[in-house]
Amino acid sequence: MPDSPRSADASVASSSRTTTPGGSSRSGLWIIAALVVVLLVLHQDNWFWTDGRLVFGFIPIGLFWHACISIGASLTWFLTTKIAWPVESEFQAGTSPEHGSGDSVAANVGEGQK
Amino acid sequence: MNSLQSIASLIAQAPPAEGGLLNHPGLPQFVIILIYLSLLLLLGVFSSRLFSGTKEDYQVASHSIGPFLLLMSIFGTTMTAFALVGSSGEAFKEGVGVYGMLASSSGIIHSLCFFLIGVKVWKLARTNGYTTQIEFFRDRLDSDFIGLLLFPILVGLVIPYLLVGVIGGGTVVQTLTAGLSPEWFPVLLPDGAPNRGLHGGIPPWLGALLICSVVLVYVFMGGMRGTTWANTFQTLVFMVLGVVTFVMIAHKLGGQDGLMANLKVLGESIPENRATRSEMSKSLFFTYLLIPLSVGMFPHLFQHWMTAKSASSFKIPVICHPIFIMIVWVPCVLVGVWATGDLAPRLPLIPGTDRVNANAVLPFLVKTQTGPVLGGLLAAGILAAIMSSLDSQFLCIGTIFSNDIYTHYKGAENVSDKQQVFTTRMFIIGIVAVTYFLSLGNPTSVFALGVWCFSGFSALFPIVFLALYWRGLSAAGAISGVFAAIISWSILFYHGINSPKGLREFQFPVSWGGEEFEIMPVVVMFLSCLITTVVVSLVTPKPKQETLAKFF
Repeated sequence: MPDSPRSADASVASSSRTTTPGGSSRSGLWIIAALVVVLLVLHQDNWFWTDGRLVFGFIPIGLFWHACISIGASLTWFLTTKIAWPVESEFQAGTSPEHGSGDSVAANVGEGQK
Repeated sequence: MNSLQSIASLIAQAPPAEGGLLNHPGLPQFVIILIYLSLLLLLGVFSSRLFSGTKEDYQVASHSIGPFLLLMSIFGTTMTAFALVGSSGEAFKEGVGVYGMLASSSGIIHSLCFFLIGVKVWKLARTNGYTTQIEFFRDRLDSDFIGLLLFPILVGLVIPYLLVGVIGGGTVVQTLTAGLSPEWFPVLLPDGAPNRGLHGGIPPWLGALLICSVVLVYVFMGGMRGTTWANTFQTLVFMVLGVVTFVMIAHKLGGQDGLMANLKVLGESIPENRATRSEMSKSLFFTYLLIPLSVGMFPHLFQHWMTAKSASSFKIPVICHPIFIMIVWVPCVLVGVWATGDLAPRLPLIPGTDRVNANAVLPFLVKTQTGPVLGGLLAAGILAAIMSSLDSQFLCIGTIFSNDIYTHYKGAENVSDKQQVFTTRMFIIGIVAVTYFLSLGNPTSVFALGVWCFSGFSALFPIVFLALYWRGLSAAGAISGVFAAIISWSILFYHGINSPKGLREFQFPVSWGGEEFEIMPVVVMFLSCLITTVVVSLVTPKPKQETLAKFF
C-alpha cells in the first residue's frame, strides 16, 4: 500500500516534531490574533447604528461598512497564509529524502511550492 | 418512460399563445429546472466513471481535492437557500443590519474555523486515518462512549437542516412554476378561488421528490467526488445568477439609464428604518457572533475538509470565503431593502393576514420584474444553493452510519472496503428516503429550528477546539460538556416553545447594571459547555501519554 495516506503522512507527523511548533512564526500568529480581535471590535459598529447616509449615492453606510469588514477579513486571512500558516513548513520538511515520501506528500510539496 | 410521457403531456397543455411556449405560465421555469437537474445527473454519472471502488475514494475522494474545488465545495455546503431567499427576506424585515449580523460575522468566523480547526484536523486525520468527527473524538479522548453520545446529537441536528432544504426546495419549485398546469395541480383558497402564487405549480411532494432523487443519484454514483463537482457547479450557478438577478431587478425597479443611476434612485428609496439598524438590538447583534462557530462542528464540513489534497489547499478557501459571502449577500440584502421602498410593487399578503411573506420577496420580484427565463434560472440558482448543502449532508450521514456504527461495531477487520462503500450507499438511500417521507408531513415548524440547529453545533464548538489545543481535555470533561450543551439547549428550547414570541424569535433576557439586554440563547449553551468541559477535565484523569503523543 505505498499510496496509503497513513503511511505517507506518518512521515509528515514525525517531521513536524523537528520543526518549530506549528511551523509558523509565533509573532505572525499574534499579529493575526490581534487583527481578528480588531475585526470583531469593528464589527460591532455602534457608531453607524442609526446612520442612514448613502455611500456612492446608493449603499447605506452600515452595509458598506460591513462589506469592508468582509474585505478586511479576506485580507487578514491572506496575511495569515503568508505569516502564520501552521502546516506548510512541516510539509516542506517532509520532502527531505530521509523522511521518505508518498504520492500525497509529493503532491503537498508540489502545491506548497507553487 | 412514464415520467417522460407526463412531461410531454404537461407541455402539450401549453396553449398556442402569442410568443408560443415561452409565454405559458411556469413552463420556461419548469423546462430550465429540468435541464439543470439533468446536467447534475450527467455530472454524477461522469464523476462515477472516475470512482476507484475504494471506501476512501467514495467518502473523501481519495484526498485529491485541490484549492479551487475545495473553496467551491465548502462555500456551497455552508451557503443554503437562505443565502439567496432568506437574506433578502430578512433584509426586508430587519433592514441592512442583517448583513453584519449573519454575513460579515460569518466571513470572519468561518475562515477562522477553517484555519484553526480545519487545517489541524486535516493533518491529524491524514496521519491517523479519520474520515468522520466521531472517529477523531473516539481516538483523541480514548473513549468509545463519546462516539455513541455524539452520533445521535450530530444526526439529530443535521436532520432538521435537511428537512428545511427539502421542504424549501419543493416550495420554491411550486412558486416559480405556478400556472404550469392548473388542471393537474390546483391550489385553491378557502373560498374556492385559485391561489395565484401557487395555482398550477409543481406540488411540493413532486418537487421534493425530484430534488431528492437527483441528489441521491449523483451522491450514490459519484460519492464525494460527485458531490464536490456538483457543489462546484452549483456554487458557480447560484453566485452568477444572484448577481444577474440583482442587475435585472435594479434595472426594472430603477427605470433609469445605466446601473449606477438605477442604484442611486433605489438607494434613495430605502426607508430610514431599513437603511439603519434603529430597530435592531445591539446585544443580539453582538451575541449572534457565536452562531457561525457552528461550522467548526458541522459533520458534513468536517468530511469536506478531509478531501483536501494538501494543507495548502485550505489557503484559497480561507482567503476567499468572506469575499464570496459578500458577493452573494450584498446584492440580496439590497434587493430586500429596495422591496420596502416606494419604487417596489406592493407585495402580496399572506392570505387572511396583513403580513407579507418575507421569504417570497425575491421570488416575487423576479416573477414580476423579470422574464420567465430569468425566473427559471433563478429557480435553478435557488435549487443549486439548496442541493449543494443537501448532497454533503446526505453523504455525511451515510458515512457516519457506515463508519461509526456499522464498521466500528462489526470490526474494521471484518468489513471489506467494498462492503463499506456498499453500506455507505445503503445508508444514504435510507436517509434520503427518511428525509423525503418526513418532509411530506410538511412540518413547516421545522423552519423555526434553523437557528436552534446552528446553536447546537456552536454549543459543541468548545469540545473540538479544546480537543485540538488543550492536552488537559479529558474524556469525562468532553462527555460532561456535551451533556451540558444538550441540557442547556433543551431547557432553552422548552422556554422558547412556551415563549409568547415563539421559538424563532426567542431571546434570552439578561440584566446588567440595572438594564435588561436580550442575548442569543447560544451564549448560554456555549458557556455551559465550555465551563463544564474545563472544570470536569481539571478534576478527572487525563488521557494516556501515548494517546496525547498522537495529537500534540
